[in-house]
Amino acid sequence: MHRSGIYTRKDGSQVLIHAYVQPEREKFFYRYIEAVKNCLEYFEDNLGEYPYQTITLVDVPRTSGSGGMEYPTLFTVSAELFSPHSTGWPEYLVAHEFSHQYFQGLLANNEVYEAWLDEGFASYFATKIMYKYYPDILTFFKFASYIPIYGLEFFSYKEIPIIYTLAEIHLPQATQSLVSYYRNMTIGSITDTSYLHPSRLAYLVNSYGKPDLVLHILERYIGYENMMKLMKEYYNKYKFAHPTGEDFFNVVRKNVKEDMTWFFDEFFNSAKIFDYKVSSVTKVSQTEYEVLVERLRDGIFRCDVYLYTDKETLKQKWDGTERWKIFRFKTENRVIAAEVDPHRKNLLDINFANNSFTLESRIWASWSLAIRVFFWVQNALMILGSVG
Amino acid sequence: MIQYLKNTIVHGTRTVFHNFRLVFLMWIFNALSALVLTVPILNILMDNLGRSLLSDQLAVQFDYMWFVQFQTLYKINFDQLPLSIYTLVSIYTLLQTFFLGGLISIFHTPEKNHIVDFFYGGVKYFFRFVKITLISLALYFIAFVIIDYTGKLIHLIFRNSENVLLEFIFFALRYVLLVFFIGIVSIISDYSKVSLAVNDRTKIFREVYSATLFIKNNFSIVFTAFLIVAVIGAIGAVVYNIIGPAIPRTPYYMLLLSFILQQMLIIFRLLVRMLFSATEVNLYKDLSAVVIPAESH
Repeated sequence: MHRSGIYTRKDGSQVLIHAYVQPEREKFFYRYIEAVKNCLEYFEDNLGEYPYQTITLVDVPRTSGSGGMEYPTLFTVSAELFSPHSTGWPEYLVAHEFSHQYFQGLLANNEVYEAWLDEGFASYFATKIMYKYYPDILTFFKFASYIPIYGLEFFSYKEIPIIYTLAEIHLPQATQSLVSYYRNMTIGSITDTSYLHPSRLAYLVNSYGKPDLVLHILERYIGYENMMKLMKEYYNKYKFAHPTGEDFFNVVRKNVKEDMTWFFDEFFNSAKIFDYKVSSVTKVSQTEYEVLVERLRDGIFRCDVYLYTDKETLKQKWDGTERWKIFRFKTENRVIAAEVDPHRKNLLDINFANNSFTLESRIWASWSLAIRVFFWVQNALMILGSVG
Repeated sequence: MIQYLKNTIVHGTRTVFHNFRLVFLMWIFNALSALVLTVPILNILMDNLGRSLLSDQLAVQFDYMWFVQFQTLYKINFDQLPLSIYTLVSIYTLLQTFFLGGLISIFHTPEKNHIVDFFYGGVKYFFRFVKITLISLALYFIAFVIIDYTGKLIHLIFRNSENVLLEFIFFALRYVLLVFFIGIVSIISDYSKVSLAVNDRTKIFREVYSATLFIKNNFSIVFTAFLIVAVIGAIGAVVYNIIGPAIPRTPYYMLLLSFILQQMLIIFRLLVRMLFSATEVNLYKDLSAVVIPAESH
């Protein structure tokens, strides 16, 4: 089945959107076309206008094995039988595949050698598009292979959830990439030659998930405006050309005041693990506090160290290179806690919980969560224990 | 039949409330069993959040990114979860079997409702009931294997088909059949236990057979009673799911309120479990009674 839509650019010219959809997925027409319009708008606002007059979306048969592919002015998608809006599917797939119009189509890198330049950037921009136009994406698990259920599943048997919770839990940006990254943290780096990765998992993580996360880290480090500015420059300089990773790094170097070589080494050229921890906060005199911050793994990140008091927040910067460092803060106020990387800029930090240290112990969340677990286990026991 | 079912359930409810104190015993064992699994989780939560500002944020709103990290950091602990659950469930099933022996014993002879009779019945019927439970588990195992292979077969049949909806219908139908099968086996298992206790017999397979015949001959009454009690249980869950999510997690007394509500639901479910047994004993005794014609003098 075929339908079309029109996207009007800021200058008044138009892009014709063609959608070819399998008859059984006719209900997705509107969502497909809206998603493409959103992508066109986002890229026009942030990178550069889509240079062609048409874009074609093909919803392919699921048995074709050709879903999720990209070609200049055309891409393929496929939707699940049940895809409620809050799952973010198939919109994410549309956003990802559309992003390839820019990253692979217009910026034609060699994906055999540097797959992260198209897959990683497409994942990053798809995430940005999703959180701009579809901010209410929820976590879900699948019951009986097909039915998405909002909430969390902790334990199941043969796709039958046994310990689970039904709740509307917001999915934070890039969390899906984080899940992917945790499956392979140490094998391969982003800039390794793509086809030489030792496993499919290493290839997938270093081409899709980890670059998505690292680009988010870069964005959080230099700020969203600066990130979009340098992305725009990268696009304008290399559109209809064949950029390499080094070309991207040079654009970053040019647009960021500080020397970013450390950033490329830590995040792109190696497989380092990051974990910063505030180990203690000690009162050494009436008005002085010492905050001991540790770097537990090999990854280095330049981060802020905050001391929270009841009246103000005191801030210091750290290049993060030492294994540990003591920060001294002067305050007459009542100190509550200290925190390293308080804005979660480094998404590769494997433990955000130990980034802060409170002077008084905290039991509230632990008990609240444990009480819920207790109830879930009670229920599971009653159900499973009485079936015999 | 409606009046008969009403009387049976009313009578069963009275019997359950007459033995109300036993629900606390079952509740305590349920809670203690759940604690076995919850305490280690509380420990790792305290280890992770005990000095963290994230604790303050989590008390207000759940953070999925933290959850993903938490699962990864404590992967070793989480990997042991299935084994821990299966072990705990096995022990709990034995406990439930023991309690069921006691319950059927005192429901069978209402005048003997002392706690000692409950434990006496539990001990007396324990091994017989365990055998029935093992037979049920074997049947469930076979059912799950069949369901598993059927699922693979459906995927195989539909692997070159675009008819996802039909594949889903077949796929879902397996689960409907599974639930129905579990229901039937549960009823047979329950009535076999009732039959063993009421008639004080020891031949397990014979009793399973006679219970199956009993259910077949009185299917409409037995199944309707089962459904009515199941619906009563479901109403409790629905009420909880309406009220529960509306209760905030802070301040502490709200958490306490939420906890009390959860435990009320657990106690309600245990009462429903008792009601299942009570109605089954009543129905079995009523419907299997041999009518002896009055002698004429």
